[in-house]
Amino acid sequence: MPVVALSYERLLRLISGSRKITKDVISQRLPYLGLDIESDDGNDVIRIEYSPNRPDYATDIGVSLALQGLLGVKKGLVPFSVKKFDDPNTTIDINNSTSSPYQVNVTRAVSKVRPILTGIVAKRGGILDDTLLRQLVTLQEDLHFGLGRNRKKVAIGLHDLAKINGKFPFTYTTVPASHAFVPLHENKEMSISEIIQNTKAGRAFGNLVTSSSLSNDGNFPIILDSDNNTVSLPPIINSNMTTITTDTTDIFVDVTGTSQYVAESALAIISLTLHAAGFDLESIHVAGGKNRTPPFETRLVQVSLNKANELLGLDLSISDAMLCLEKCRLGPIQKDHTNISCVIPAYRPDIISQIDLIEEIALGYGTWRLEPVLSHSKTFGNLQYSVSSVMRAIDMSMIGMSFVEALNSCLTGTLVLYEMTGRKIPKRNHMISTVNSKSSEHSVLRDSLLAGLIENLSKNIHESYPQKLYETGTVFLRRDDGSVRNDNLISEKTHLAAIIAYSDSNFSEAKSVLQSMLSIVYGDIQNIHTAAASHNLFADGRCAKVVITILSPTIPNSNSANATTSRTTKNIVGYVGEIDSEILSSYRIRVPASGFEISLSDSLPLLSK
Amino acid sequence: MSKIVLHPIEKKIIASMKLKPLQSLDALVLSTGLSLDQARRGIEWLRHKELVHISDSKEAFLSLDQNSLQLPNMTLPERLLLNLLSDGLPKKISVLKDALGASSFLFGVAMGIAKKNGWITVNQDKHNNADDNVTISLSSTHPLPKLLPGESTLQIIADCNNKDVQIKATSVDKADLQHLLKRPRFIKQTIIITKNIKLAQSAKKLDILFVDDKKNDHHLSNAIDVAAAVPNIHFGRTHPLKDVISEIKEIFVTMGFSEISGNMVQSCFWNFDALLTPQDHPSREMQDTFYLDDDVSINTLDSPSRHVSRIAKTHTDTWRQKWELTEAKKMVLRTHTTCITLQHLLATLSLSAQKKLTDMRIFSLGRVFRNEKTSYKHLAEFTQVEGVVYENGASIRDLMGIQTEFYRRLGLQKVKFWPTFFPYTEPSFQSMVYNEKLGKWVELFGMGIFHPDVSYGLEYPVLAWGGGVERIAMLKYGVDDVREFYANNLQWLRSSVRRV
Repeated sequence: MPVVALSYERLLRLISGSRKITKDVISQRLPYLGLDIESDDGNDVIRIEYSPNRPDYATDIGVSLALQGLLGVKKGLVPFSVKKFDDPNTTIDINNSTSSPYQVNVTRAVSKVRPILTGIVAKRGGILDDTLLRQLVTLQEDLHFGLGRNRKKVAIGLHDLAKINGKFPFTYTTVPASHAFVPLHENKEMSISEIIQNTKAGRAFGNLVTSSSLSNDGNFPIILDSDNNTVSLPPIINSNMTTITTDTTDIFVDVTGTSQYVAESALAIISLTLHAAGFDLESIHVAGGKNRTPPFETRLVQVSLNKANELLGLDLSISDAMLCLEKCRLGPIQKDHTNISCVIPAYRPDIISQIDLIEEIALGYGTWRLEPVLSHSKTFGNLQYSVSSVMRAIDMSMIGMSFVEALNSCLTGTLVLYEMTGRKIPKRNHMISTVNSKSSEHSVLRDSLLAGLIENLSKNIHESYPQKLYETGTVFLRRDDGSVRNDNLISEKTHLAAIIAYSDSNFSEAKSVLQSMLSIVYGDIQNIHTAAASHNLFADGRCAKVVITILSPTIPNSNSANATTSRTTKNIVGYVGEIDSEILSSYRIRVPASGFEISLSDSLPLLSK
Repeated sequence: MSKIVLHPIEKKIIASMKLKPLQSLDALVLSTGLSLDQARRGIEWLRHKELVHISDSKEAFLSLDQNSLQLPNMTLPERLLLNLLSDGLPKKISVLKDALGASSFLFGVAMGIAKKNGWITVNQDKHNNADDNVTISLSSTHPLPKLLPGESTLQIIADCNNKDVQIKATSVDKADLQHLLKRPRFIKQTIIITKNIKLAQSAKKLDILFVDDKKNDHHLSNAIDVAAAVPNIHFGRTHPLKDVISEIKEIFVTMGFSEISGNMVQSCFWNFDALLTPQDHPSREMQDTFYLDDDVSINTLDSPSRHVSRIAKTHTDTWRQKWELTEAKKMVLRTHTTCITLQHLLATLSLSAQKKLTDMRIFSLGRVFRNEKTSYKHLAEFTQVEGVVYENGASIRDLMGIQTEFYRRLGLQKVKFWPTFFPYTEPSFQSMVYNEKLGKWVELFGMGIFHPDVSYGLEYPVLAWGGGVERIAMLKYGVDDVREFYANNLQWLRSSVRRV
């Protein structure tokens, strides 16, 4: 969640409400706007977390507009106006325009690289103060990251208008990589290739324009002024020429990107903030491609009063509900006696349908006023019987035999699963691995529980013996039955494993534990037996497979005189044995260990027959 | 003096020690008639009560060794030689050698010692060196001592050995013994450590227990020291986190919820797309989610095509960007259990005869995954629980009520709800619970009503809440580092105690 630092003093000034509105009132109400107070320096500054769906909360201006509504200082739509020079809905002949002095012509060259450009001019009598400048940069960064998907969909440039005034019309076009200018924060001219290789911004965002197949030949989107001086190299960096300082009075904002809807939403949020900060906004004129002069269109969304009352458990009248929406700085209009039509300003792209308005009604109502109600359940609860009852019996029998339950992660590393247990690391497509884990300890899904328990012993060599551990949990196996790949290729099975470590630990004890557990859990275990086997975890000659033999009648053969024949199937459900001493010594475990692992998913259906 | 309870063994020892306040363990065994083991235990108990003091003393004991044991009649080799010469006549070396046994060490030793002491003279022909020309005779100048050095001491040791009586090094002549000890493998010295038990001053005054009170005595003779420390037993137990999980399951069931479960490996479609997470949303990136190799991508989405195409349309309409099927077919480790809930709801709906769901309360509990570096407060794999209510007329206030009751049953009394944002619920809240220990509100479970585009096709709203179980277990067990739950540290597993 993004975080912004706010000053109570500034908030109080921006809200400009009555004296009753104090620091305490604000700190009490902020959480009910969805803003978590992450820290409070005890003096004046708080850091708040805001949700990614409300980037307009990235500045204290945006937060104060919302607080004005919630506290009832100002309600309804936030005043917003842009000086327009032409009708955005009519197409203007670029060569014969008497419209906006801030004209940007978009060439066809950018259409396949970064087709969208929009923007605004913001003028102000005074100079930018340091705090406001910092807040604007925070907003810009947040829009880049959230709505802009790390500048891919939207990148915003802020320019000092004084330094480029009179140089319009601008051209948004492409240039080759050899094109050079002085980028922001640098003092010498650099070519685009140098910028991409040698500057921080170039390394971070250069791939957004170089990875596109069409720009590989060196066509980079660029904004040039009428003298062909570089204004910006979106989405990477601005020119040094237009740097904003605290002496800046008027700003030119450019927003470029791949989606007109998102670019215009980002522009609306910036424009609202600048307007509320006291700037006068003047429209720019954009033409070329699918671009248009920014319309700042409002939308209408409808909400049913009954639906809202039903979901919120309230009994609001239509005027109550409208008041709630006004407190969220929206523009409700009564449609009929049960429906409200609501004007949504362009800076709220998060409001799309009725449910979004119901949430706004709840916020405007004040969610601290929503009283919890407890109604009786109409249903009876159940655990998943087949699984839960067996699991419980297993737990009881294992702890009865003095075993301590262990819990390991399903996601483990090749070290525990393969290297330490003397197992060859298979080809990638024979284990189930994650693509981009941040840690080698979490890179493969386990196919065995016992390997984890052996590793657990190694972490406990200083604890007293005997040590007895068991675990029930999920293991992950690839389906290798060659079936059509319609299904999930990975099957998840529940296993049980146990390990016993101390000076006298041996095969017989491990088998005894397994046998006792099975007889308590399943009763009759006559069809379970052990047979010599070899397994990477166990010592040769001290390892057995656990086999369940099932007699299943076969369909009588019509040619045969015998009415029925039966077939026996042997199902290997696990292994028991003494842990290979080489594995133990590579883990520096100084006592012998024995144990077993069985598949409950495979044995449960066989044994319950 | 306070009354001290003594075991009959202890009483016997004290009674004997009162007569003789310093005794060895062996002496005590004899004087009390106790077995060695009983005496040892009794002494240990008494030492613990500071009624006796124990000190060690070392003592050397002597016995014959390999070489002295071979002596004929326990006679020193030099005495044997001198005996042969006692008639005063010179004897040839070969004769003497034969007499002492040609192959034994005796002749050499005897000659060495006799020569060194000047008891014999060697007469040699200058022109012939052969043994046969050399004769030995008794010295005329050095008179023989009556007893040779070491002779009497050897006799004493040999006598004791024969009679199986231990002989202390201190009980023989020290100088004489040195002559024997110099010889290789002749006399063995064994150091034996003896425990000396001394009655403590406080015990000397102890007499109350020896009062001839039959009734009392009978009672006390069976009494043991009930205050004494006893060893710990390594018991078996289920994992503390599992105990919290069982408790949570029980609370759900008693509140009318039924358990559901499902796979941890899910397609992106179920984990993200069906829950309205845009395909370019940051949480879908590899740095936040564990993706599995492309070769396990699902071939056909495990959902009716009607559902898939509706979800695709919702994505394109809402975010105005293309929805990619290949992206939806990738497999991930589920980042929440809501995918299980939704699958269950939609599957039950499609199986129902009237294509209508009746009231339902369900919960799912299982592991979920986030591609994060682990720390004291974050795990890459943790346990999440989620409860869902599907009832006609249920509102967000009912969800708040059920959740408050859920927390109350977990022992968490103070709860409030703050609005927040989740992609698949609206309105959404996070519950804040007051932590008495930290003295502040902490964030616990998230909650909300499924977005209508998620629960499309269902008649009533779907109320859901959920979160990490480890957070609750941390409160209950006073654990500060969440990694403890998966470290399998036996010391912790053998000793952790529930605090709340």
